[in-house]
Amino acid sequence: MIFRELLTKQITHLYIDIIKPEDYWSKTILNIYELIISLCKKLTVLNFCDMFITRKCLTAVFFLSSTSNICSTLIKLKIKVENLMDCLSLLDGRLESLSTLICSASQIFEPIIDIDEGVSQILMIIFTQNTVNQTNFVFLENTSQIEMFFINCIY
Amino acid sequence: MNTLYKFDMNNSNDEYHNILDLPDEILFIIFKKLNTIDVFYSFGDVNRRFNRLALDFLYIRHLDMTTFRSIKSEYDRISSIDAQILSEICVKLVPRIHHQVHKLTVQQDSIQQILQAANYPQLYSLSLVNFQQEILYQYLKGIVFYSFELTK
Repeated sequence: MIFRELLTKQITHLYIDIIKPEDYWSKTILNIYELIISLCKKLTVLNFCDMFITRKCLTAVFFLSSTSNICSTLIKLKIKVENLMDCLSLLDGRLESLSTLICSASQIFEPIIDIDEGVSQILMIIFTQNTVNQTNFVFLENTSQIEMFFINCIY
Repeated sequence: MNTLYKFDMNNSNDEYHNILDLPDEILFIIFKKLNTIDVFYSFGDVNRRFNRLALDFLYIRHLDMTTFRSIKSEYDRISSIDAQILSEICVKLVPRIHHQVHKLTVQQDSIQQILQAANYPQLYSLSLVNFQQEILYQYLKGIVFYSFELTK
């Protein structure tokens, strides 16, 4: 079975764990993310670099090309990002089927852009902050899904 | 084999039993504490009964190719499966169970052999653990796998 073929035609659940690169920010990580969400045509659940609490591998999705093909079947995404801008850029409307987004952000600062109509499905943003400045955001599609609270404080 | 269990402490015959006397159900409970590699490698060739039990047990949906060492290696270290064990698993085990595998967990050092050992028609969930970014990027672009295919 060829790897790419498997990803394109068969895989619906994908969990990725990458060893932290030496650089704080890695273009290759972003390229990998981009390839995965464009290659995996049946993907519904993706955990990108947030499988283990000890891994600090961040994805700067804010810099994802606006022309990238994005998998429209994705329902649940868990990802480790750098800041809130990355979280918001995931909600630009291209992930059409997304209902659950779990972001672990390493920094928080005021977002420059407003959350617009394209992300109107988001009713709740919950975040917690702890001693190591690690924050998890939970975006839920509607109140009926609120039973799924993922507030994972990392100590 | 060493005597492992004494089931009846009050048995006047003071009869000891060894692991081969344990029922299948208890052995399955023991197997559950181990991962695929350990079950296959530790019990596969002991005797005919254990071979059958190990393969029955490995009638599994989730083929997990990570090892105990790789769990520790989440602290940014790479560990590898012994090449001979990996090779035996790909030749003896994978062809017998691949059709029922729904989930697969592989490391960087085993993914190529594991995927090329069979077709996995029911596989839908894939976990890639402990990968280096450059290697994964090459795999996703098809460079490594395709060149390997061409040389076969």
